[in-house]
Formats: sequence, structure tokens, C-alpha cells
Amino acid sequence: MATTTPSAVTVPVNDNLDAVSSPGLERRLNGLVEEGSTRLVLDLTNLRYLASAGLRTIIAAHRFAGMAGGGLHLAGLNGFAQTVVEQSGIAGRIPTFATVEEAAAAF
Amino acid sequence: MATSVEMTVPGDVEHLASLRDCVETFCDQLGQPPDFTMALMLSVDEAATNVVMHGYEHCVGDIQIQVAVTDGSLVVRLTDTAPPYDPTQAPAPDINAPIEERAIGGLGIHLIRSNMDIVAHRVTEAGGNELTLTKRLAAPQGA
Repeated sequence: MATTTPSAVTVPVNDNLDAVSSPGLERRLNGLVEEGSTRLVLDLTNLRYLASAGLRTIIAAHRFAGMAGGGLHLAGLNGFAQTVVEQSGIAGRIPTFATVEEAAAAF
Repeated sequence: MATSVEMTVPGDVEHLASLRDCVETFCDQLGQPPDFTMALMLSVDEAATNVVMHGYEHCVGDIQIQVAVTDGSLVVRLTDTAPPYDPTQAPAPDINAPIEERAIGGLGIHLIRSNMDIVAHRVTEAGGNELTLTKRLAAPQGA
């Protein structure tokens, strides 16, 4: 379920973002950008597990949305998923916010 | 309490979660904190994902996992029958490069290195791969 505000589309990513679930998220994010929704917020509040396949999807979507004139913001990162983002070096390179509201307002 | 566990699964993406679950259950039984358990789950997942995506790209085979406690460390052995490939020789990704210039890929082995104390590879007698991941236990076993 995606929530649309005047400035951004929020996509919740719950539970696991791994090699199994990443391709589906990638198709979904690409589809949104192709339809013209280029400002994306990933709501990671309820993301429990994140693997490199998920990181690649996030990086690719960040690039794709950026090339289309928008961007991708992360919201609600916590726990182990936050640790993985920090270890990967993408922390601070993809704009990250505590809440979905802040992430959407920052576009 | 079991001091080691072993299982074999088909080398496909659908079975990656079984390998993670195997490690999670073992770490939980040892009373390891969530961060330790997640670090192990991620490392096993990344290693097995590499085997499935690259090693078994043009052939099929199983992945065997052995988890045991040795000298205060958790030791995970992942064995496959894919063509020999040593992930420990892969170049480290430049994680400080701007995100737009960053090559996509290479993150898996980087995350394994970040979370494990020792990562070792050898070619098995059968001509496959054995990857050994070692991490010192966070608390005395059975405490």
C-alpha cells in the first residue's frame, strides 16, 4: 500500500528485504518512477532484516528516481537494518530521516 | 543443548531463509544477543546468496551448512559443489565513493567482512567450495 502526499509517494517496506523480496520492490519502485512519481519515501520503520540485495535495490531506485528529476529518501531506519545501512557506507549519501513526515517534507 | 547443527538445502533463493533460520535458532539456543545473531544470519545469507546467484548460475547443486561452537567462537561452514570461487579475494568496494559512481555489487562480501572475525575459503576435495565464517561469541556459552 503506497500513500501519496502532494510531494512524495511513501512505500512501506516491512519484515525482510532480501534476495527473495528485493526484485518485487525494485519492480514496484521502477513502476512508480515510470508513472511519474519520482519523489519516493521508503518507510523502513518495520523493516527487521536487510541484506545486500535490498541495499542494491535502494541504491538503484535512488539513482533512477534522481535521473527522473526526483529522489529517494529513507525514513524510520532502526535496529539491525540501520546497522547494515551504516556498514554499507550509504548512510548519509541517501537522505535519511527519522519519520516519514520529515522525509516527505524534505523534497 | 546441541553443540553443532548441520543441514543441506537445494542451492536456490527459496531456501536462503532456511539457512538463516538454522543459524538464528542455533544462536538463540546459545543465548546470544540479537546483534550477534543478526550478524551471523546476514553473513550466512550473503555467502549463500553469492553461491546461488553466481556459483550455481549455470548448474544446480546443494548448499550444506554446519554450525558449531569451537574455542569460544561460532564457526559456520558453508559447502557447495559450484565451480571454485574465492570470495575473500574479491576487491573491497569503495564504500566512500559517491553513490552515483558506486559500482552496484561487491556489497555482500563487504558486509560479511564487516560482521565476521575470520572469513576463510578453500576448494574441497570434490572440487567445490568451503567457506568458513568465524565470530567470537558475545557471552560465555550456557551462562
